[in-house]
Amino acid sequence: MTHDTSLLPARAGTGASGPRPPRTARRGSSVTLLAVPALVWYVLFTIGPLAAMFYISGVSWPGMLAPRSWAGWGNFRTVLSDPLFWDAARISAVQLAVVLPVMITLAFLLGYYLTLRPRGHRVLRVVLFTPALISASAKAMIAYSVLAPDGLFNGMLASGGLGSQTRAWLADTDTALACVMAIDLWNGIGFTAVLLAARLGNVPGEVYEAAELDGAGHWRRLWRIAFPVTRDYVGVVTMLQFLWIFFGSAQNVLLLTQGGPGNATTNLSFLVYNKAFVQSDLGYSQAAGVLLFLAGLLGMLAIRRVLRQNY
Amino acid sequence: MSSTDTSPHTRDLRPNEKRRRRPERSPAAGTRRRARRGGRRSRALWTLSHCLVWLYALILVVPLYYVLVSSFKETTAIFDQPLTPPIDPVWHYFADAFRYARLDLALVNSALVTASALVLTLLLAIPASFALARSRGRVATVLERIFGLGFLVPTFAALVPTFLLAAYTGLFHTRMFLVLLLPAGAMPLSVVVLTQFMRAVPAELEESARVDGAGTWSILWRVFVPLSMPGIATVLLLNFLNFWNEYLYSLVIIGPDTAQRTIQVALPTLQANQATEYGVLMAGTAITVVPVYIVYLLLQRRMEQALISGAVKM
Amino acid sequence: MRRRVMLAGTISAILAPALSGCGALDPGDDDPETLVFHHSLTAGSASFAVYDAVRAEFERENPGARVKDLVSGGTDLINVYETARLAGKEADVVLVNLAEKSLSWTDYDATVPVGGYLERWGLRDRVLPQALPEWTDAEGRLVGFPWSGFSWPVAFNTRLLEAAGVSGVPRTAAQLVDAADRVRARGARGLVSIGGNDWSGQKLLMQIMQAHLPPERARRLFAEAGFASDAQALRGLEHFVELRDAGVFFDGAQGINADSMNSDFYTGQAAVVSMISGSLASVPPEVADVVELGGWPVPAGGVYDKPTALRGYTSAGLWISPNGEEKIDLVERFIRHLYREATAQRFVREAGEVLALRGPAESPDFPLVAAAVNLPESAVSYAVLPDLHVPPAVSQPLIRATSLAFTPGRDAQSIAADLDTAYRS
Repeated sequence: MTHDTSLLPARAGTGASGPRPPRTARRGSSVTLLAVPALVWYVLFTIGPLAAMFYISGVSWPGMLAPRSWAGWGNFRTVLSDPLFWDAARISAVQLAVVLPVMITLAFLLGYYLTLRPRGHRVLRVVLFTPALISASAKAMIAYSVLAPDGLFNGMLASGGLGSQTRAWLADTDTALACVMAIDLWNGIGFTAVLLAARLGNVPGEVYEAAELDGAGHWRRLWRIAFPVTRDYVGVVTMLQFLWIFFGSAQNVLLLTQGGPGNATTNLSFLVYNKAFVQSDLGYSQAAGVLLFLAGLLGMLAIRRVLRQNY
Repeated sequence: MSSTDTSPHTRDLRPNEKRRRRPERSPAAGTRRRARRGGRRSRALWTLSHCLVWLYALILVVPLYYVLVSSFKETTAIFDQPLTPPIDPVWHYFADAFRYARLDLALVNSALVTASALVLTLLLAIPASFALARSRGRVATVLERIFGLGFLVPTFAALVPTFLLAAYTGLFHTRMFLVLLLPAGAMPLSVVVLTQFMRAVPAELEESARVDGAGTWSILWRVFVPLSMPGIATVLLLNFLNFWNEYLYSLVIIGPDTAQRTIQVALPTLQANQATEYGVLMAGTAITVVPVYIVYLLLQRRMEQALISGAVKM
Repeated sequence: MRRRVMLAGTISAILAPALSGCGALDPGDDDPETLVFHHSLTAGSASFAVYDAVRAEFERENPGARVKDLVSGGTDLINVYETARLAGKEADVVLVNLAEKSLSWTDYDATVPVGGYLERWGLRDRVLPQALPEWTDAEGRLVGFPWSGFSWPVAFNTRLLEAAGVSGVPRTAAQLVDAADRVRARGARGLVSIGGNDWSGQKLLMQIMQAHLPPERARRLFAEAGFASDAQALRGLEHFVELRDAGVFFDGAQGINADSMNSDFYTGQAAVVSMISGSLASVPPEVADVVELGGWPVPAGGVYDKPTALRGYTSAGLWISPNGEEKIDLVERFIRHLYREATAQRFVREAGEVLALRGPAESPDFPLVAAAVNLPESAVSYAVLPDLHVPPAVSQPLIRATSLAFTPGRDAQSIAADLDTAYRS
C-alpha cells in the first residue's frame, strides 16, 4: 500500500532513490534494531487486534457477558444468510457509489480551480480545510443542529415560505441516508480538493503550454492534460476516501441516527459496531468485520487497477 | 516553525525540488490571464464556477457561524431567527456547558492524552524511521509493507479486539490505554513521513560525525533529528489533529468517567440537555472547535503541508 | 544529551499527573472507601440536584467515604456497564431500569442477587409490596433493590383543546380524531406530539396496538413476535394506522425524540402527549395549571372499555455488582442512606419522583406527578408494559422499527412485518 514516493508533490525527487555508500550495509543490521520498538508496538496494538478479529469471527459469543464456544464457520453462515447484513451491504454500496465519484469529480474540479489562483483563493483554502480540522463529534453536533426538526435547515425553509417542505431530515426514511451522504460530501470535497490542488500545482507549466498552442480551453485542459498526468495521484486520494467512507463514516451514523430510522442508515461498519456493543453478538460482529476487511482490500485493489498511471 | 521550502537545510538539500517547484507559479498566473481573454461562453462558465465554489464555501461556513451565534441565543430565538446575530447575547450557556459535561476536566484530559501520545509517537517513530532510512533492500520494503497494512484496518471492526486487549491488560476505562494505543495507529504515517525526511540527510554529514567518534545513537539525535525538524513538525501536527479529534475508541475504552474522558466524548453528552437548552449544545460545540481553529489559523501553511504530505504518503 | 534530558523531563511532567492522578482527574476506583455509582441522572435536572445534595450528606455522615458518579445516557448505561463488567471494571452500584439486557444480568453474574441483603439490612418493610414481584426473577431471586416506578398517563392541555373548540378531554378514538381535525384547522402541526424515534414512541405504539389485543396475548407477542400472523395484533395496528393517517400525531413524528416531544408540550405547542411521570415533573407551572390527565382514548369494540395508561415499578433499581460486593459495608451504608424515609421524601417532594418505597407520596410542587400516581381506577385501565417481556437483543431494533410505523404511508401489514424483523435481527 505504500506508494511510489515520486507521487509526492512536496518532496518529489528528494534523492530518496540515490545510491548509498556501502557502509550502510555494514552497520545496517544493528541499526535496523532501532525499528523494533515501533514494530512491536504496532504489531501489538494494530496487527494484533486485526488478527484477533479473525479468531473471534469463529467464536459463538451471543452476549457481552454470555458464555463463549467455538463456532467454526457458523458466524459466517449466520451473517451471510441474514437479510440485515445484505441490507447493510447495499447501503454501504449505495453510499460508496454515490459519494465517491461525486466527491472525487467535484474535488478534482475544485482543485483545478484552486491552482488557477482566482481571487480570494487564500481565504478559500482556509475555508475548505475546515472540516478536516473538526472532530467527528463536533461535526455531528453541527450536522444535528442544522438537520434537527427545529434546526437551521427547517428554520430557513420556514422563513423562506417553504414551511410545508420541512421534515425530520435525519429521521425520515427517505432522507436519512441522503443526509449521511451529504455530510460525507460536505466533509470531504474541500479537503480532497486541497490535496489534489497540491498535486495539480506541481504539473509542469510546459505541459499546459503545449495545450495552449492547440487553443484548448479549461475543460479540455482539465480532462486531456491535468487528469491523465495526475491520474495515479487521483487514485491515491480515491483509495483514501474509499477507506474512509467504507470504514469510518459510520461515526456519523453512530452520532446522528444510530442506524435508523428502521435500518435505513445501518451500513456495514455501523452494523459491525452495533452488533458488538449494542446487540452484543460479538461473533457475528467480528465475522462481519472480517468480510468488511476483505471487501476493503478488494475495493483498494480495484481502484488501484482502474486509476493506475497509464501514459 | 519554518515551512519546508524556506528552512535553510531543506533549501540546501533539495536543489531538484526547488527547480521543479519554481515554474508552478507561472502556468497558474498565465492560465488566469488566458481565462480572462476567453470567449463569452467560457466567461459565463467561469462565472458559474466562481458562484458554485463560493456557494460550497458558504455551506461550509454557515453551520459554523450558526453554532457560534446560537451559543448566545435562547432556544426560541435560535429557531425563529436562525441566522440573526444575537441581539441580546446570553452568556451563561458556556458556563452551563462546562458545568453539565465537565468540559474543563475533559479539556485537560484531551490535552494530557494528546501530549503524552505525541511524545510516545516521536520516541517510537524517530528511531524506527532512522533505521528504515539507513537500511536498504528487502528488510526496509517488508517493514514498509507491514506498516502499510495499518491503513486497511477497519476501525469499527477492530474496536472489539482492541477493547478486549484493554480489558485483559486491566487498562480498560483508563486514559493510559489510549495514550498507548494512539501511537500505534499513528505509526504507519509517522514512520513513512519521517523516513522520507531522513533519507534526504546527506551521507557526508553522517560520515564526518562518525570520524569525530559519534556513536549511532548520537548521530541520530545530533545529525538526523535536527535536519528532520520539518518532518517532525509535520508528524506532530498531523497526529495532533488525529489524537485530539479521536472519538470512537475514546468513547468505548475510556468510558463515561468525567475524571478521564476526553472532550470529544464529553461533547455529545450535552445532547441530553438539548430539549430545554439548545444553546448549551451549541456553546459546547463551539468550545471544542475553537481551539483547533485557532491553532490552524496560526499555523495554516504548515498545517496544510502536514495534512497534504501525510495523506499523500498512504 | 541536553535534548534527551529535556525530553525525559517533558515526558515525566506530562505523564506524572496522568499516571498518579490529581484531584478531580483521579479515577480512584480502587480505593476501598470510594463507592462508584453508575446512573443516568442528567446534570441540571431536579433529580440530579436532590441526588447531589443526598450524596454530600452521605459523605458528611460517613467521613472518609466518597461517592464517585459515573453518568451515562439512559440506553448507553447498560452497554457501558456490560463492557466494564467484562473487563472487571464495573461500578459498585448501578441505578438502572429493569428491562432488556438488565433482565439477564443476574444469570450472567453481572450483578448479584440482593434478596439476602434486603432481609439482613432489614429493608424489606421499606419497599412497597407490589414492587417486589416485579423485581423478582423466574427463579425467585431479587435482582436489585427497587427504587423508582412510574405512572404513564396521557396529558391533555385543556387550554389548547378549548381554543380549538374541543370541549372535554377525548375518551374515544372518534373524539381523538375529531380533536386532531380541529387543532389542525387552527394551524397546529398535529394533536399528539410523540417521540416516534425512540422508546416513547415504541411504548405508545404498543399501547395503541393493545386496543384489540388481550393482555395475555400481548405478553406472548412481546416475548416471541409473530405480529404479522396475529389477527388481533394486525387489527390493533390497523387502528394505529387509522389514527396516524387521520393526522393525530405531529407531522414528522417518526423523527421526533422524547426530548423534543416534551419540549413541544412544555412550550404549549402540543395539546396532547403520552407522558411518563418523570417528565410530567418538569411541566412548567403555567402549562401544568391547564393540564388534565387521563388515558389513551380507545376505539369502540376494543379490548378495553376505558382509556388506557401504563404503570410499574421498574423505572430504576439499585443493583449491586461483584465489585460492589467487595465493598459491601460501604454499599450497605449507601443503600441504607438512600432508603431512609427522609432521603426518599426529598426525591418525592423536591424532584417529583415516584418511588417504590413506602412513605407519603406527596409532591406538592409536582401536582401532575401526584395526579398521575392517584389516577382513579374508574378513569383508566392499565395496558401491558412491553419492557419485561421484550427480549434484550430486540429492544433497539424494535425502536427502529417503531420509527417506521410513524412514517406516513406504512400500512399495518408492513408495520407488523417490521416488528417481526426486529426480533430476527
